[in-house]
Amino acid sequence: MVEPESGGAEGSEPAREAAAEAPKLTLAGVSVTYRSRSGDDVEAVRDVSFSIANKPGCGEIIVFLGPSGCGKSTILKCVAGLLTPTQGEVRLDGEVIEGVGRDRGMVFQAYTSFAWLTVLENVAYGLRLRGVAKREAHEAAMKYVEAVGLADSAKMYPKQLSGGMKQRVAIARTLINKPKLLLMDEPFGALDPHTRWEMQGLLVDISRREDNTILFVTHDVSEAVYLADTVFVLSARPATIVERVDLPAFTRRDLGLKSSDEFRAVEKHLLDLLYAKKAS
Amino acid sequence: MPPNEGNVPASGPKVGPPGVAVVAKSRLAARRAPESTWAIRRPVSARLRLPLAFALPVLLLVCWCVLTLGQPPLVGELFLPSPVRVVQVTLRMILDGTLFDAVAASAVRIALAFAAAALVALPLGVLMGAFEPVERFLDPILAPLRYMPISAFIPLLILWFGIDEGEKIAFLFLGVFVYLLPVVITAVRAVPEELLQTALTLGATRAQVIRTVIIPAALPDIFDSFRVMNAISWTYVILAEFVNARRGLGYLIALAGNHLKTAEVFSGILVIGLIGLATDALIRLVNSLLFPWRETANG
Repeated sequence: MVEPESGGAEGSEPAREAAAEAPKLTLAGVSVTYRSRSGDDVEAVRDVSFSIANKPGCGEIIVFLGPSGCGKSTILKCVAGLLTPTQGEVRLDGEVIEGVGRDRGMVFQAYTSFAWLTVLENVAYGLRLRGVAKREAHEAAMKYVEAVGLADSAKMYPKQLSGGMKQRVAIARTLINKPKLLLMDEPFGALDPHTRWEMQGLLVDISRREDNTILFVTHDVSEAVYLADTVFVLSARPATIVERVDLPAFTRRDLGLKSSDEFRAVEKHLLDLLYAKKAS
Repeated sequence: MPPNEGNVPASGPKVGPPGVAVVAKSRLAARRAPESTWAIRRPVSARLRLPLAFALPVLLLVCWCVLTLGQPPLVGELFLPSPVRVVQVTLRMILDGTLFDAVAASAVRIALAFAAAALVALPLGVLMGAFEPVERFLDPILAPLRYMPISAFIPLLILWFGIDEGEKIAFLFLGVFVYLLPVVITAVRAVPEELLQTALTLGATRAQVIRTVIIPAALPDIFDSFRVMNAISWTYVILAEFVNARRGLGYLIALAGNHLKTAEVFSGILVIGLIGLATDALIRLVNSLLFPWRETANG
């Protein structure tokens, strides 16, 4: 599922791995320190190393689970290229990531639908940036609009949409670029429980259909267990990896799953990891 | 008798201690219920709206009539002309074309100065809002400008641009520009960071982020500020036209004042008020047509 962690952060190791097994994503000794407004140095992420194997033709969901404000999002932003690590490096398919790229699309907790574009235009945005003709872009976008269940709302403006629908737009808009990585920063955090549940189901569906690896940040243990193939449990700030947990492949992801013993056991294990770290 | 929980008003007096308690409770409920016109932030009921809107104008008009329509009037014509006189003068100026001519002259000056100010302030504000080095570079000059009385520049502008149209438009330009620029910068800054980051991760270049996200997102706020700019423009145009103008509303008022034609001064001021209301409504209409997609607080 996921390659064994590379242990230390020797500079040569990621390179060697890239040559041999070629992991999809590698973080090697990534630390992020930034200067706050008051001038203090804040260490957000400390020495995070992991790699994710390349598994062509199979979607995978990797969840980063940690307490609120622990620096999970910072890790995601380093992968997106929105932030440059203070130390260490991030490699995607062996290439060091420098800056943003449309092979790594990001979905935020805040609603980011462009209010001046219709649902269809929002989804077509990435294609239009590349100069794809309007008609062609809209045809392609319609498929993704349908895939996230918004076919009836394609001509609406975001102000007419609910929060869940806005997040569907954001997901479709990112998928149309066919990114290698789909980065999701607590995307369902602002949704009501029912919508949240629906969206989790949608995401699982998408990961089965599409070939993207999804990196998903959350502080919700149950969400992590439901979605993840692999969970990285993170400590409070500065974020470090406490443990990587490869989850059993739940055969059925439906309403009953969350109350099953199997699910509860994994949930308890993750909770123990989170709270054990907090107590120490 | 079942206990009254306050949602049904107690009917008639009740006997005995429990009854007293019930009555007292329902009175309390009635006082707390959102009936009072003076509850904080309570919208005025539809029935009260028209009377409230007309009360003060009517009161002022009555006072005005009492002061000016007596024989002889309580206040002399020179200081306070009668409403009848003001209406007569206004009608005369409409009919002989002077009023239209004056309004047109002022409006053209405002339009030209406004277009020039927008042409400079929009790109400059977008650059300053998007790129902090540009802002830090220009702010030492632009920040103090905001606190200077623009009218203090009139003598300088006369020296530089002469006493004709150029000076008046330059003055108006300056007046609008110093207010518009910070509005543009603030509007650009108010675009949520996540929107920019989303565009970047979708493959937008920096230029594309500015063109496809920052500008469309900031434009409604900027266009809203045009209402304030409109008010500022009409204030400054009068001031500008006090100096050696041969046309315009300010000129008309200044000339009337110099010749002690108080009724014409009144007429000019009223016309400016009406123009202000009309242009404000027009700007609001245009904005709602331009930005139908806009998310508003109430839907």
